[in-house]
This record gives sequence, structure tokens and C-alpha cells, in this order.
Amino acid sequence: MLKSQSKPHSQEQKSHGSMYLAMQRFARNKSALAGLSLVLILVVLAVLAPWLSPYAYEKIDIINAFAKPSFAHPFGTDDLGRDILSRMMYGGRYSLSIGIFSVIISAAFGIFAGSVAGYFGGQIDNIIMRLIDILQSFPQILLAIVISAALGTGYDKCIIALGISGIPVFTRMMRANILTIRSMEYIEAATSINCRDSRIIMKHVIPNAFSPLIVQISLSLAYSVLSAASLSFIGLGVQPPNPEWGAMLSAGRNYITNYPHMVLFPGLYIMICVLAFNIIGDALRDALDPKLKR
Amino acid sequence: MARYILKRLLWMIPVVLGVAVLIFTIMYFVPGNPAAIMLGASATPEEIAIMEEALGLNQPYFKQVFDFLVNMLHGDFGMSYLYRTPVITDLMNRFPYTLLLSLISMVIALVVGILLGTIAAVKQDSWSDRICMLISLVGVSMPSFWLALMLVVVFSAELGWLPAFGIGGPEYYILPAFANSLGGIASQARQSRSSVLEVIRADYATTARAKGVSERAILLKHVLPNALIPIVTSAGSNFGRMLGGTLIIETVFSMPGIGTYMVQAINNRDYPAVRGSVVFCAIMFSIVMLIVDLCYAYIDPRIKARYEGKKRRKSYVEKPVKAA
Repeated sequence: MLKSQSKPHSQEQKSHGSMYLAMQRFARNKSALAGLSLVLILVVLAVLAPWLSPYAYEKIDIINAFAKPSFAHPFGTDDLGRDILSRMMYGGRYSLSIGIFSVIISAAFGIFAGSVAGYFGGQIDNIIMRLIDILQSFPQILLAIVISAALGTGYDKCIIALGISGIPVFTRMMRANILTIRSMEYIEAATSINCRDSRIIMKHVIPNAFSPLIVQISLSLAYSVLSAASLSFIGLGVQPPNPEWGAMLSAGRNYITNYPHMVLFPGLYIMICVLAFNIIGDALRDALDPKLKR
Repeated sequence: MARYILKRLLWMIPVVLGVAVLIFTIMYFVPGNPAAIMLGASATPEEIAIMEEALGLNQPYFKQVFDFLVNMLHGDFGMSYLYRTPVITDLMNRFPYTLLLSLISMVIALVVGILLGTIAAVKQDSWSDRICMLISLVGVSMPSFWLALMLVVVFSAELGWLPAFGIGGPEYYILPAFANSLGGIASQARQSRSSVLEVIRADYATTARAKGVSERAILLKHVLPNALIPIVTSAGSNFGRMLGGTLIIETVFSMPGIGTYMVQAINNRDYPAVRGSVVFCAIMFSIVMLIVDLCYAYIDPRIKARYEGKKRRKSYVEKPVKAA
């Protein structure tokens, strides 16, 4: 009885890769799907902003300046009468793409440096890790502030600053991954049955290093969107006429006592976006490493 | 233990020097001539050349780095272009505010975060667990400066209970500290929950339970001391977040700390002030990380044992703290 029940199950498990099973677990997680849908909605709103937004983001309407939320302007208007909802939707183009591109930079450099350090060890490892130590002796946001201060303000410079400041996290994680995996019993087992190096790397090292990486990418996206907003808020990052979320907060803070809606909605929008990436990150962690889930 | 402290202190020297060189180099390649910026638009090329000479800007890069390091070791970060005062004096005047705000936020984050995390772990899968985790998820995702602005709207503009900006008595720290600590509370709660959960089902906890020890005693004497190690580690990185957050929160509340100074310096291209404040923050951060590491060694006897006599080392290794 038991045997017949367990057999098809194990067969099914064998026929699918571990990634497939992880994605299945992810899809069963309701909050994960909620997070994913939120991100998709935000992306769609940002990409289709020219068609979906009720007004043009730069359209000035002085008569309606500081309008409180109403049917015509669901989230109100700013000091120049520009529609806040439209600006927030357009702002997604800046904020989300800064997040994505900066994480691509951090991940690409971090994974490369971390793999080299972990794989070769010795002096190279020592040099790379000491450099990373130096980069990590600042709080991450401070590093981003310094690099932005040096590069100047603007969209592309904000991406570079955030990208560089995120490199240490990926380097450390990748190096630790490679080191753990190299000493694992399954690698020893694979070596002992005479597997080729390429097979070990492709079949064992990469898939096992991959899952923490996906989780980190998702969490880094959350952090990056938040940091981009912080940079723009203190006047570094993207500059005010552009509707980046942090820049909108920065522009609205002078009117905050009388017109709090100018700050309330962009902030909520940032929070929802970051929350969604965080939820996805957590769910991915649970899905990829079911042992961790409690 | 002395050996461990010494080793960590010595390691700080190359890191701080590395930071200084890195920051100097980043600022060195910034486009724009500091001498011209200092003198303003009306300066003639001769005046600029004289100023360059006076500031040592016409020296080769390596000479400038070397001078910068030597001066830094003498506690001299140069003169602020904007205020025409020594940067180190400005920093020392402002540092107490930044440190105080970071420390208050850190204490709030630790106390509330560990409490929330422990409650969530002990009552796993109950409503209180879900609420604690929801608070922490929202807290991690909320921009602290936005929370600060919203707190100002509610507690200063609407209710008039607390001051909206400036510095003074303890009431001036309440809003900034709360806004700054929320992210820390959230990540501390998550870390505490997972490390308490890890320990709560350990063999020695089960043994204690089997002996009839009360749940409270198990929690206080067995679970928390063991769960504390990862909690302290994350507290260290949390402090970095607090310090970074403080720099931004200060600008919201116009507090005269290092953050406000740095942002002003950046906006006015006051490079010695930017350089000085960043290197200063990095040094302070390294010192705090050192203290955290020392606490870590104090809490975890395994680390302490590694730096004590070889004979005792064996008996300490692999034995959890206060295991029953």
C-alpha cells in the first residue's frame, strides 16, 4: 500500500528539475502571487503610462495647483497643478528601471568577483575580499551618496552609484556560496565517480549557487528602489522636473503641512513597490529552500 | 581575548587608510576645479592659479594622496570651502547629534525588534506571529524619510504635540528616532524570529522541557542566550543602516548633524567637507563594528576560546552556550 503510494510521487519528482519544483512551491504561495501581481501591475502602469495616465505628467495647470484628491485628480495635484497620479505612473519608469539596471550592474560585477575569489582562492581571493572590506566599511547608502556626489546628479549616474554600492553584497554571497558548495559531499561524490569538472560546475555548482542569487536579486531590487528614492530625496539622483518618486517627495516636502497629499501618495507607492519585491524575495527563499521554511 | 582585540584593532588601520584613499581618489576625479569653485565666477586665471598653489592642487596625485593621509592621521581633514573652518572642528561639533540619534534608534530597534521577533517565534503561526511579521515586512519596505514626513504631518502639524524640526530637549529626538528605527525594528524582528525558532526546538531545550523546567525559564536561560549570537551579528549590520538612515533623517528634521553637513557640502561642492565627513563616518562605523564583534566574542565563548590557551580550546569547541 505504502509502496504503491510513494512510487508515482517519487517518479514525478524525478521527472522534474528542482527549479520546476521550486516554481511550483512559489506558485502555491498566495502572498508570493500577490507580490508578483503587484510588481506586474506597477510595471504595466509604468510602461503604458503614456496611454493609461489621465494627464500628461508635465502638464502645468496653475489654476488647479494644490488641488486635494478628487474625482478629476484621484491623488490631487502638486504646486504647479500637475496630476500626481500621472506623475507617479511615469515615475515608475525612472524608479523601477533604476532599480533593475543598478541591480544588473551589482549582480554582474559581484558574481564575477565573488566567483573568481571563491574559485581561485589564495592571493586573488585575498585582494578581492580586502577591497570588498573597504567598500563595506561604509553603510551602503553612504557609499551611494559619495559616488553620486562625485559623478553628479542624473538618471544614469544614479544607476551607476547604486550599482557600485551594491557590488559587495553580491561578491560576498557568491564567494560564500562557491566555498560552501566546493566542500559539499555531493561534489565529493561527483568527483569520486569521476565526473568531469565541466559537469560538476554545470550540474552541481551553478544550480546550487543560483537559488540564493535569485533571492538576493529580488531583495536588492527592493533596496535599490528605496535607495534611489533616498538619493533623489536629498537632491542627488534624479532631478525634480522629472517625476521620479523620491524627487516627488523632495519637491512636496516644502508644502507638507498644508498639502500632505503631495507626499502621502508617492511615498505609499514606493512602499507598495518595495513591499512587493520583498514579498517575492521571501517567497523565493521559501520556495528554493524548503528546509528553511517554518 | 586581548589578542583578538589587538588583531581587530590592527586590521582597522589598513581598512581606514583604504577608505581614505578610495574617497580621495573618487573626489580627485570629480570634474570641476575646486579653486575656481571656491573663488567664484569672477576669479581671474591668475587668482585661480595662486589658490591652486595654496591648496596644493597642482601637486601630482600621489603627493596629494600622501599629504591627505598624513594630515588625516594628525586629525586634519583640511578647511571647508564653504565655512572656511577646519572640517574636523565642524565634524566634532556635529557628531554628538548624529551619534545620539543613531544610538537611540539602535536601542529602540534592538529592544522592540527582539521582543517582536521572540513573541512571533514563541507563538509561531498564531495571530500575534502574523501581526509581528506583517509589521516587520511593512517596516522594511517603508522609506524612513517618508515616515518621518508623515509623522511630522500628524504629530507636529495636526496635533502639535512634538516639534517638527531643530534640536533641543529630548522631545526633539522622538520623531526622528522613531522614523529611523522602524527599518531596524523590522529587520531585527525577522532575524530574532528565525534564530529563536532555530533554538527553540534544539535538543537541550527539549531536555529542559522534559525535566519540567518552566517555558519562561527555558526561554530566558536556554533559548535567548543561544539565539543571541546571530541577533548580535545582524545588529552590527543594522547599525550601519541606522547610521546611513540618520544621515537622511537629519536633513528632514534639519538637525545639525553630520548628515545635514554632508548634504550641504555635496550641494555646494565643498570637497574637503564631503571627504572629511565620509571618512569620519567610515571610521566611526568601523569602531562600532569592532565593538559589535567584541560583544559577539563575549557572548559566544567559542570565539573567546579560540584566542585563549590551546588546552581549554578543545573543551569549549562545539559546546553551545549554557546548554542543559
